[in-house]
Amino acid sequence: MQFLTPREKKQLKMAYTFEHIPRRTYPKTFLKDVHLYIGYPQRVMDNVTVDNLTQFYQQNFHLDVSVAEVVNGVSFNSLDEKVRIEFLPDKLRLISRFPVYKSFESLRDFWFPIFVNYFHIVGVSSLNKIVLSKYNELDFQLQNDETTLTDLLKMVYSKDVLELASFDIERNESFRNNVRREWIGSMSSDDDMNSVFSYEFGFRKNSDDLKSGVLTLKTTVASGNINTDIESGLKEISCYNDVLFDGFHWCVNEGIINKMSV
Amino acid sequence: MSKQYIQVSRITVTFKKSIAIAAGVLITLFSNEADAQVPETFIPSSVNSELIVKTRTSVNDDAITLQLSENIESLADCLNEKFKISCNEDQNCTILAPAHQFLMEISPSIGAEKATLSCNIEYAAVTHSLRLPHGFMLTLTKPMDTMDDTKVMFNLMRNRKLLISDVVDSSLLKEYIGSVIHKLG
Repeated sequence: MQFLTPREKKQLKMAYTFEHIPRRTYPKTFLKDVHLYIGYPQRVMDNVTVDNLTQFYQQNFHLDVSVAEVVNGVSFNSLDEKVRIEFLPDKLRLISRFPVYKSFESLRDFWFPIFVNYFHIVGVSSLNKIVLSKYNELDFQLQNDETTLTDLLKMVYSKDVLELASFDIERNESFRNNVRREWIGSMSSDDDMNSVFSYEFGFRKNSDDLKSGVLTLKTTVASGNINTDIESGLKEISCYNDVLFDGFHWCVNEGIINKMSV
Repeated sequence: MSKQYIQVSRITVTFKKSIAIAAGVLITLFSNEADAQVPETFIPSSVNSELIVKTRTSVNDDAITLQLSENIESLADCLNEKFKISCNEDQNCTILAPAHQFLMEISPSIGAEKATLSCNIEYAAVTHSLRLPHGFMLTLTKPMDTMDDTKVMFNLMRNRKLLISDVVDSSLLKEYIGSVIHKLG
């Protein structure tokens, strides 16, 4: 694993070298949210039939929306607030929260046909930005004085993550704010679609004595500025998900994976 | 306002379980096996969480007073859960954040009214839309969506018409906004 300066990022491209882990859905999880961002060249409303777009929203969300919303963008929340979808003039944004989010495949199978339909209606034929991120929260309680927060961090996060974060884990002082690191790479060494993998981990306390709180981990794969057709772009998102899966395993301690497995 | 269909959404059941990973150390994991499906019922919602400046806002190192146009949850989501937000019954809210997270202050003098806003660029997860007096709307977009963290997308609109759109180095943002305001007179 190698981290680069901004200048190096622009000059260098490499394949991610996380250990590849066969995909599986674990019986237990601490995943909270999945965010998907798809950017495209701004749609030109002159070429869009408002009636078609209105019908699209009616069919997929059973909702009537105003012409102004159709033109300027509209978003929907599910009643249980587990899903939020935004259709904007230059981007789509989807947030799917646990437990509605069960797996990437279920998200893909449900939403991608809707996206393709939407792109067809608004005349979008290419994508210029893709970002996929997953946010995890792990509640914890320290029930004795022998175990410190530092001990817990070592139990939850991988050694690589803690070392590369470059903060003084023993002093713990800088851990009150999230630590963010990123790594540029590609899905494969001959891949033209450069991207950035980043992870951000942090800590939120519930009590002043640091005996309970939440450990957080957000992993993201973001494309650079791209120009790809719809089909290739959507396929690329599956590759991003694979990187996030491998990256998650790189970020957390094997003991946590074992707990998630049973 | 769009027509809203209020129905009973599907019930999703989650099971959470505290697990010891060492003596006296409990973590909570959730069962991933509950049969949850994409909800069938949606309601329309605002695209952006907008912050409306109430009056001349008082700003110190770590607090801003704002009047919110959206519910607190969406605002908190917008601000990426980095801020502590407390509100009174009139929806006048105080947003607290570590002082060092505020990377800039904007002091636009548009028309007769003045407002001082602070916005967190480094941690902003989504586009922040700031409604200014006289129909102006300023949006700033997080660098997460760019390859370069030092950049921020700057859009200034008035009555939904885009006046200026530019990518600005965040360290120069305050100066840039100052020049924009100067040009607008």
